[in-house]
Amino acid sequence: MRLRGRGVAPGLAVGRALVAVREARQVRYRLASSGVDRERQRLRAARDRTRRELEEISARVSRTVGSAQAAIFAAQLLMLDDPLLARRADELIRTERINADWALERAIQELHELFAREGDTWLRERVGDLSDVGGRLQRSLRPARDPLIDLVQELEAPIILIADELSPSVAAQLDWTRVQGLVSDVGGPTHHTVILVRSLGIPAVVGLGGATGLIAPGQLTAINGTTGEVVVDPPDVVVEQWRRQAEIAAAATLALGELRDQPAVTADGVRITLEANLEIADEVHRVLDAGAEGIGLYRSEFLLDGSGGQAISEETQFRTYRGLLDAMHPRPVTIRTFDADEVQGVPVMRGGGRRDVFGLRGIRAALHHDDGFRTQIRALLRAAEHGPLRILLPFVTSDEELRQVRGLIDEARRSLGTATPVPIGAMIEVPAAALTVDQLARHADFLSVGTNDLIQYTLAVDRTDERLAGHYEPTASAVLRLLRGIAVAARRLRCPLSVCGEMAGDPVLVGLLTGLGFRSFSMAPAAIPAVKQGLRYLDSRAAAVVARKALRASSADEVQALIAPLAAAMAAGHARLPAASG
Amino acid sequence: MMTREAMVTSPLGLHARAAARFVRVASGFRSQIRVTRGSRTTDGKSILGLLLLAAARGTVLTIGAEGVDAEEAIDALCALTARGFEDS
Repeated sequence: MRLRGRGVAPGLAVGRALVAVREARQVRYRLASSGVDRERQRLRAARDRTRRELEEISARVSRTVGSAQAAIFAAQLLMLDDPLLARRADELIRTERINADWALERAIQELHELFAREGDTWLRERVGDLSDVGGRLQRSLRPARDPLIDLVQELEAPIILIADELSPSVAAQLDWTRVQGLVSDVGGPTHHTVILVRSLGIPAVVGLGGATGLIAPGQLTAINGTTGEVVVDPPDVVVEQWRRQAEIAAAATLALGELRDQPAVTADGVRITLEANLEIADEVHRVLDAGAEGIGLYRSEFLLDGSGGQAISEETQFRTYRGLLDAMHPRPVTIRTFDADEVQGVPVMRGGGRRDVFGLRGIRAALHHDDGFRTQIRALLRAAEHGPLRILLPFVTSDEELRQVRGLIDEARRSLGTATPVPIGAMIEVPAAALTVDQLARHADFLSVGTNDLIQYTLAVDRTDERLAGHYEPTASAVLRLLRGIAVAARRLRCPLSVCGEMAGDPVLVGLLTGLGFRSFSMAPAAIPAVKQGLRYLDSRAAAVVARKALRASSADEVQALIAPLAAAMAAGHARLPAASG
Repeated sequence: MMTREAMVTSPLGLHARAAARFVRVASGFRSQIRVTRGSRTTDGKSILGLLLLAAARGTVLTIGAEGVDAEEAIDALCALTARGFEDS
């Protein structure tokens, strides 16, 4: 069984599953007036106990991990004394005459509601700390040690911990020499538990939804914290391929300085373009550090994050886009227009989180409700005066949409009095677009394949539906055939083509895509060195032979077996590096 | 209540560690502390309340204090905000 979540701490681990589910134990009752003082006293005692525990954990983390990580618990200690938490619970005991457990549950609930209203993802993740402190306080009312801590000592190592949610304070008390990988149903990259395990070098995959329900205790489980894959009862070929990926990454790390300024070229001399995906404009230095040849995808909707869906002014947008062009000069910058949910104004979360799969999004939303879109187009056209900017349109489903958008852009160009040519591209991320590349290419100056959505629409798998977690398969023959069709049509029409989905960040899959005819990829900056390193040892003709066979494979495992020789070849650089052989 | 405005200058805004520093300084005073951003007001000694202000870089906060050491409290908190919540 294969599951896919979000890889948040890199590395590979294989071990027996330990499944941990937190039970909600709540005890609620109303108090006689004589019981109020006793309950307030219980709450005070729980608070003192929690404070001592947190101080102990903080000191321990400071010793074993570092003072920066210990600061997480210093913030939790302040939350413990927060007027909105313990003092609020105390107030509820007095005014509502409810027991301490119930009062605390209500105070925590009130805070959760306040935090849930925030649009800011970072702020929402702070709920992890709040739940941790609140949960600890609740448990302190009925003191007992978290059984997980002892369980880890009793089971056979190595252990892969499968948790519905793992709080930072329990995480800090686990023996991570025995637990060698973490899989959790919830969480994100800035969750404090994740920060903690990442600093310990433990691979982690989060956001799987129902992993705790799908993986049985004791099952052999392999996790890849780099790609987010989790395989239960993994076939040897899978473990083998992951080892190759790790080797490519290790070789790339060692050769980083040398790789940065080299173009990506395959062993048989085929030039491949590697660009970077970017979400936060301030992180453009990471793109440059990775040696990207340009920005292949700037997700402009992230400008909307935290703004509560309010429109971003033309001036702010112009400054952001121009800033990117200046930083990347003379390399090109591809800006994808807002891919936002029209009603909520929130970015469509690709690969997890809130989204409206078949909704009014991308270019549909832009044409439906075009004020925000016109503003963005004006800002983009103005920025394009200062460098090689390309406009990429999301969620295109027909050439008619492209014609309409071009009309809007021409109109904006006339009103601005500018004649600077700006390439307009279309995302290929729904089967309708993939099957009409020949038509789209007549109205688009370039095409960019969004594999994440293309896979989910082709296979009818909503990635956020945990019951379908094992069905999301990038190498399904239906997906590979669509990709092959896109590459063939684009080449025939000489339309520049790139891949910008998650597939493009996996060196071995880039090898397969090269075999399908793709020559340009855009990926997370951190993935560029490994992809470049792998390509240096790839023979594109051998890749083409493998790709042709893969189009007719009947299972993902068969594809894995077919691409194993490619993976081995791409990892060859690992063996040649003297520093890596020891 | 005595009030004064201060602008958030730290790159990450009033994030967790910054809010923690703010609460620690505020808790050192006997005065009641209030922090207002737009229509939202919170207890300046509440880390959760401060986080919920979601004050990004460039946000102007109104810091208010009432009590025996109100003036010193405002001086200290405005100075802390101005230097990006770093220790002096």
